[in-house]
Amino acid sequence: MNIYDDLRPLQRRLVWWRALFILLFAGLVLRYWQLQVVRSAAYARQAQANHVRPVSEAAPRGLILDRHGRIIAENRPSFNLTLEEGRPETLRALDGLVALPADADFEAHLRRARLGPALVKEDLPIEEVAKVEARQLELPGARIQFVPRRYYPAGSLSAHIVGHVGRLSEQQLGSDEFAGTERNDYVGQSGIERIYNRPLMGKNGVRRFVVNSRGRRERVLEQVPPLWGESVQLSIDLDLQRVATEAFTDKAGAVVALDPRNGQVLALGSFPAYDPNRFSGAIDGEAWRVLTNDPQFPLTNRATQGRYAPGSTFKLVVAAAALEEGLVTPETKMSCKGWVRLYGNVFHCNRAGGHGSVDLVEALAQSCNSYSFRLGQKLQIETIAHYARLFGLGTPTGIDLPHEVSGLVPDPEWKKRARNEPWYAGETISVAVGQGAVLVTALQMAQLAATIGSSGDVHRPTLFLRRLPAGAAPEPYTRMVLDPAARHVGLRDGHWRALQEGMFQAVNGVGTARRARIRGIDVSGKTGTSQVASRARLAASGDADRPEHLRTHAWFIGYAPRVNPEIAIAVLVEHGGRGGRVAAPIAQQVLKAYFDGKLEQRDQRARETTVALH
Amino acid sequence: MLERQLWRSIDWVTILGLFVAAGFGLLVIYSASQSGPTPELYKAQIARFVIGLSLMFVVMLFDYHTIVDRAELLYVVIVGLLIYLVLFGGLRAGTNRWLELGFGTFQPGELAKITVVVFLAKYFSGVRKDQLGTSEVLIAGLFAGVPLILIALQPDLGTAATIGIVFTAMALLAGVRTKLLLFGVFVVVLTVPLVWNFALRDYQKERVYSFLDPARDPLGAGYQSIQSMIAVGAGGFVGQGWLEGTQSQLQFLPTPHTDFIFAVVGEEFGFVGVVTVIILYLVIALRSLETARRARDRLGIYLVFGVLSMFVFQALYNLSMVAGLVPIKGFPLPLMSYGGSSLLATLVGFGLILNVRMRCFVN
Repeated sequence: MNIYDDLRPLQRRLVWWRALFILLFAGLVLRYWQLQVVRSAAYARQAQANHVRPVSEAAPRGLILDRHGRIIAENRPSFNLTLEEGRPETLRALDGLVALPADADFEAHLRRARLGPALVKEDLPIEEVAKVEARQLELPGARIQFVPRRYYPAGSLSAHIVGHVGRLSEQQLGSDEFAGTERNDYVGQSGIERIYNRPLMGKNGVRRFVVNSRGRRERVLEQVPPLWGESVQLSIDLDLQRVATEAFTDKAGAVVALDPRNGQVLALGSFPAYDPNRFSGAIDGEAWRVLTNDPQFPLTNRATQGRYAPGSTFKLVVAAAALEEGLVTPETKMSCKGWVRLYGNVFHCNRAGGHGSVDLVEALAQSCNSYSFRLGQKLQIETIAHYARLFGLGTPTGIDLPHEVSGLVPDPEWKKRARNEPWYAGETISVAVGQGAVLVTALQMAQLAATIGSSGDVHRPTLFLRRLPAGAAPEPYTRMVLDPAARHVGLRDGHWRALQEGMFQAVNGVGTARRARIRGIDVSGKTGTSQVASRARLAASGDADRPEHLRTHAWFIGYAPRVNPEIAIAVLVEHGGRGGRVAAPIAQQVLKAYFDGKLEQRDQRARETTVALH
Repeated sequence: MLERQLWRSIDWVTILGLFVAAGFGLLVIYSASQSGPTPELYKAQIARFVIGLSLMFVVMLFDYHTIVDRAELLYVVIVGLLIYLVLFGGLRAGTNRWLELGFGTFQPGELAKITVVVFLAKYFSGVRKDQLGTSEVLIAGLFAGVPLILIALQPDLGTAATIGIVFTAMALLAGVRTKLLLFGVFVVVLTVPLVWNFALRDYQKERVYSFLDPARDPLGAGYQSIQSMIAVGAGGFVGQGWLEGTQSQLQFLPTPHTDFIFAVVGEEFGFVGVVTVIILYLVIALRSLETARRARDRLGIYLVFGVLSMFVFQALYNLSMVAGLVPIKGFPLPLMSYGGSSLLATLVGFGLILNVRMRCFVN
């Protein structure tokens, strides 16, 4: 036992330790106050991000229907393979189980998988879906996702109208046009799918899963079902579309048919077309290269984006200008001997022997170049340009399709600007027969035919007929409110009659468009044959003997019936040869199909009425 | 053996504190192990608590002078065991800290801490001065240093550091001259870079790095610290409720039933639960300081204070670690964390503290 037993120094020091303990524990309380009260919200968010994993469910897009309710675009079920965690072993196992694309970037998949579901393969065949589902336990992080996928039952028939959908690109993500879309969304990339993308898209649903630290889904926290997009009905008639497509077999070109009374587009085709279904899934690089490098440009919509010289169809504009300016009357006769010498150059008529003495109506019907050359001589280029613009040439029509071009109505100002050269009088003579710099689209020419047929009414062409709301909340349609006040081109009545008579005689009299004639229907029309190369280059050889790319474009524009027309049409066949021989028959088939279809519907209604009476 | 008077002077307040802490620990162990592979863990912990309590009462039975009389023997046995472990110990979890017994495993390091306390208490109480001399500090340091280095070689730096802390605290209580104290600080400052460069293994350095900047490698070494702070912070003021903590139940929290059990407390019982536990530990600590003050001789004071400094250091370090204040080190939270050796050592230690208090009036 110790002798020295003075405890006081130790007891004194214990008091200091007591103070130290209290201080340290109090410091801890402060720290926990900071973590649990001051910064609690931020940590709660982090905890949430740890264990709540939202999985987006794609909304089915709305249907696209033709004017009779037939389906142009619908959805089919499909399955995607996604990876939710960056597990290399899962990816390796998947590689053997399903056929992954040869250029699959494993590293990129793994990187993205750490941030959220990474798409490994789209649109799996059903056997692969079964294989992956059966081995779920051996494939942690791999998931089969159900996705509605766009399907176009009419295939290439509707390609340039509906366009196609495609994955949202990096540039589109966050753009105004695609506001409210999510990464990995499919959006309309062209055509109707793009113009009406917003209402068609609907609203994605979401399922929020509670996951553990290994990514296993423990339970569903919340589920918001996806909402269908609105369906859109178009003014397109699939029957007409089919007839036009068949008529264009092996030909390149465009056709537009519309209703002159309201601008509704009944058929719109560009040929060759492509199958929009190829874009609905992951289009592989090879297929994409084939489509974009095709020398026939199947992806270009020739009806709204193809710019062509109008050829003789432009004579209608020139005639209207000459009549309105009082330079000629419908009865003014001029003689044609097969050629005209103007400004020191010889201009040839389309009929080598000449048309003899013809008035304006006959000149239009027979497409006499000499007559138009002389009109061009009397008219200023500015006057021709003014009337061309009056008919809507030189500006986009405003149809509800993306990327429409404006064409070109040349005048001295344009030439100065574009080529820094003065306007030569000889050029006006070329423009008078639709050659030279003047360029139009098939859609503009269909609208021009409709304007003449209806004596001056110009409606904005439109594909949209009506919306069919579905589950989604109505979205404001950017293009919903159509221009109700149609524009009117004010020519004198007699002048409209002269143009109309010329077009009627072209089909039904002694004219160039006789192949568009239909028994019992008063079809009116005008042909055009536009040169793609200068006369000098073509030398004296016949058009049919030339290499295809130097052959003329064939035009036909027209409308029917003669009084109160219901349908106007423009047909363009690239390098087709003569308009009367190649374009007019195609127009005839489409017009005939239109009127046959109308009769069929009338008969059907009659039968239904009869049944109802019994 | 135990007279009526002694029985009556048992400190029931401290015993109640131990029961509350261990009981609350069981509740949290239950919650933390539910989603894991071994939801029955709490049963084993109950058994250990019962064994620990029995050992505690055994320790209380004999007068602490009788126990301290055998300090040298205890010391030799422990050092022998530690040498054996370093030379022949089977590797377990990358270290040699486990001793295989017929019926289970035990960490002699835990027992070594108690032994060092007992040995130093005996040595310091034999110094009949108000302050230690240089030679006495060196001798005591040598005796503490041998098991410390053996344990550090296992390697179990946590336990080694605890022994260092206990030695320092007890020496400071015994009184160290200012010059010597400054010299000691100087030596430590010199030693740190040496230890850093030659003694620490890469994973240990990584822990320090990730403590200094947890965002450095949020999925690697910084992960535990970040997840612990998220759990605690997300608990908020009142907590998410027992069995309801997402961080612990969905296994984002590492070792939620052992070293990070307090993060579960923070997540499921909130700031309220955290403060309750902190106050409980402070009450136990202050109560033991009171026992030290009342001890009838210097040996009693040293004994109580040695055990207490060990307990307080481990608790403070663990609570600071969970709060992201210090680097991650494998320190369990005494009384609450799952694990036998630590619980047994803690209860045996409190057996000594209660022993001193029981006998403060006897002579």
